[in-house]
Amino acid sequence: MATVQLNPKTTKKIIFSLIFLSASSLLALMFSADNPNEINKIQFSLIAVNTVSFVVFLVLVFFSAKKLSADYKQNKLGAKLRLRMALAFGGLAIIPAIVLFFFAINFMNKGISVWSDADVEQGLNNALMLGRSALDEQIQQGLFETSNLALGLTGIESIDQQLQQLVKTSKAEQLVVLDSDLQVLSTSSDQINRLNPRMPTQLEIEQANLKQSWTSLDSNPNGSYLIRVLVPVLSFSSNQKPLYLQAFFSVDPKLSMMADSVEETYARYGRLSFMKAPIQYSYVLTLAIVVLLALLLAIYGSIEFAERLVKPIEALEKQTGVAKNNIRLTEAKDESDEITTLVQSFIQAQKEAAWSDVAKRMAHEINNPLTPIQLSAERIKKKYSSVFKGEDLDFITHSTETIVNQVEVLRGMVSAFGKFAEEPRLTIESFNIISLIKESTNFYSKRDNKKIFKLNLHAESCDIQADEQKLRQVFNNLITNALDATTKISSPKISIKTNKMEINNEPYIKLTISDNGQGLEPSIAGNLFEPYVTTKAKGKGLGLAIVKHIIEEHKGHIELQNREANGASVIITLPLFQSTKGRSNE
Amino acid sequence: MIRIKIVIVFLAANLFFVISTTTNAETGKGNSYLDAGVYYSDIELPLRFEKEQIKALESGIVFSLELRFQIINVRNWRLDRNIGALTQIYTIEFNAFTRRYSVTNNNTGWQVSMSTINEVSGYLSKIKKLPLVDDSLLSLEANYRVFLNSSLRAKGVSQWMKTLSFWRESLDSDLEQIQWQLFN
Repeated sequence: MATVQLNPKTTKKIIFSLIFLSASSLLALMFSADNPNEINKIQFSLIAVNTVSFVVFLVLVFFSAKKLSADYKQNKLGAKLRLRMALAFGGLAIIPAIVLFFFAINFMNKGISVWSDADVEQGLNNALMLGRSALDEQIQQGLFETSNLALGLTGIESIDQQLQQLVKTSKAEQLVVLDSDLQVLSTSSDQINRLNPRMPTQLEIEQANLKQSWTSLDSNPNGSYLIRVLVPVLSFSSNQKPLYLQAFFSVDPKLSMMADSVEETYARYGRLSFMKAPIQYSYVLTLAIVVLLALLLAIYGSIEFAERLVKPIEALEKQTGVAKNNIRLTEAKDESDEITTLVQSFIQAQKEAAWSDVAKRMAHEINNPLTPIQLSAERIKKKYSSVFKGEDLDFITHSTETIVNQVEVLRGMVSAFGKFAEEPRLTIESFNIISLIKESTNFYSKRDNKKIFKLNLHAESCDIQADEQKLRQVFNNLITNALDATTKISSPKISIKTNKMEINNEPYIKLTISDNGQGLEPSIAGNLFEPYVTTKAKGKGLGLAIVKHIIEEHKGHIELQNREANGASVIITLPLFQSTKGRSNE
Repeated sequence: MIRIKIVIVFLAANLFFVISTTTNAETGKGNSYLDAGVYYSDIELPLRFEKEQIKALESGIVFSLELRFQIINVRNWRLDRNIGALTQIYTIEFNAFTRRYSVTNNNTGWQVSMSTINEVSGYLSKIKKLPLVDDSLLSLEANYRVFLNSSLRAKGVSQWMKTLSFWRESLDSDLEQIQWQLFN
């Protein structure tokens, strides 16, 4: 399965950039204007930035979780521990964040509800009514005065002079006479354009006709207010059209200012109330994105943190060779098993290292004096063989031969030590392992001239990538051990069975070498792969240790077990292909 | 047989819907005339304030009515030529203190106030003597058409807020395009 793998440095840079961007956008939101409408101007860019961060983090988390899940499914050592730690750390972050999110939403909604409270609205309405009531008296005065002014108009002739005269004696700012078609016939001020936008509408004219008056309060763009009064002129008309007098009265500036303030507040409140729901959604969305970002960051962080925590264990695993060699570890049930196995493996590796070190030293220390001892013994024999005769000569000859023979034994032992201590350097090549098994069994069959081998091979050929010489050594050692174990049996039988199998989608061959000998002694069965552990009188106790060493170098697994009937079995699992990745000694 | 009946009922319902919407649809119109070397236009806009827009207006949200005129020289066998464009903007707002709507012509600064929203739509639906183009810029042999695109927009409400108000009627509306011959 193809997996996307990002350079860790690039990933780190991306993550930090996104965190920086998101943090900056949130700070911008924090320090922006208090007005929600103002905030909303930057809201879109903020959401966009955070959405990008969210998507990137989602992808990162997805791939991290996928990797963790794949490791878990493959029962990789430490995956279970990593998963548990990631879940624990993630859970620790997720639960408070979710709780905080819902509390924040609740408080925010309550806060928004407070400023849009019905009492506030009622208060503002009352303030508006109060303001209008304060102006009602002025409006009534204006109406009274305008009605009187209309009664004072004597005719259409010299109407301009009449209006100018009247405006001087009244509180009106301006007087306009117009007909029912809204045509201005006269104004009291030249400054007022005849197309004054403050002209009454047709509806207002109709209202003035109906009620004999029309009053309104108008606002100016500068925030001031003016009272407009429209009354019919009853004493005369123009071209049969009814005439109307419109008077403007300015409102006290102080009252105007206060009215404007109340209106402004009311409008602001109205806008906020109208936009209350979208403002709430906007805040909830922002908060949700922030929380989701924080959660994703926490989940990603927890996976990474767990991985970093477990990394030393993985390193230890690589050092001790547990994962790559001990396939049985893939069946580990929980993280405590993983740790226990690691600890055991670590102790085992230390033991092996110690033995290897001792073997190296012994090989060095013993080998050096062996040659002078052998040479001295041979010299003694040569020098005194002509001097002594009879029993003395026999004694000298026997003694020196004993010395030479024992030196040879010691030399053999030193050689075995050396082989154990040295790191096996594998020469990997592809060959038919079935042929190798047959070759080894043929050799021993011919030598012992007995039909003791029973082969149950799954195929005629099975190619494997391995070091043929080393594997030959392995088979020879194991067959020798099996033969040794069956020496006291009347009808010895050694069976060799092969099976093909798959572990983690990798092809493996499983070899089982069983004998019907005396079986393994329970007291030492667990330590048989350790150096110097042997049940043979003349054994060095290095054979199985070397076999294990070779099998593990091939990333295989070996185990010993007693058979149910009698005898013992050696089970070897070897990969058919050797990946070059991680091989330090090739 | 039942299927045929269902199909007939379905078609009839569709036909009824099409007829009813067609008859209810308001269409605008416009015409232009020459006065003292300037072409003026009288326009009837199919303007109608939706409930949500009225509610927004009364809540203190300011609206703007934008009229975008384009005068196009329609040519045979060649691409049409854009002669000129004019934008007329009206601002509509409600004053809670005076309980009146004020309509301001942004191009001239003139302001009128009205007591009902119907008056406002009536006022803005019939725009009279709007100066469009100077006669000297036009050729008598050419064929000119005026295209008017109008839209009503809530001012001061960001697009983001409008998007988040998805559950209610849009605060913005585009009016049907109107086009007419500048002169015959």
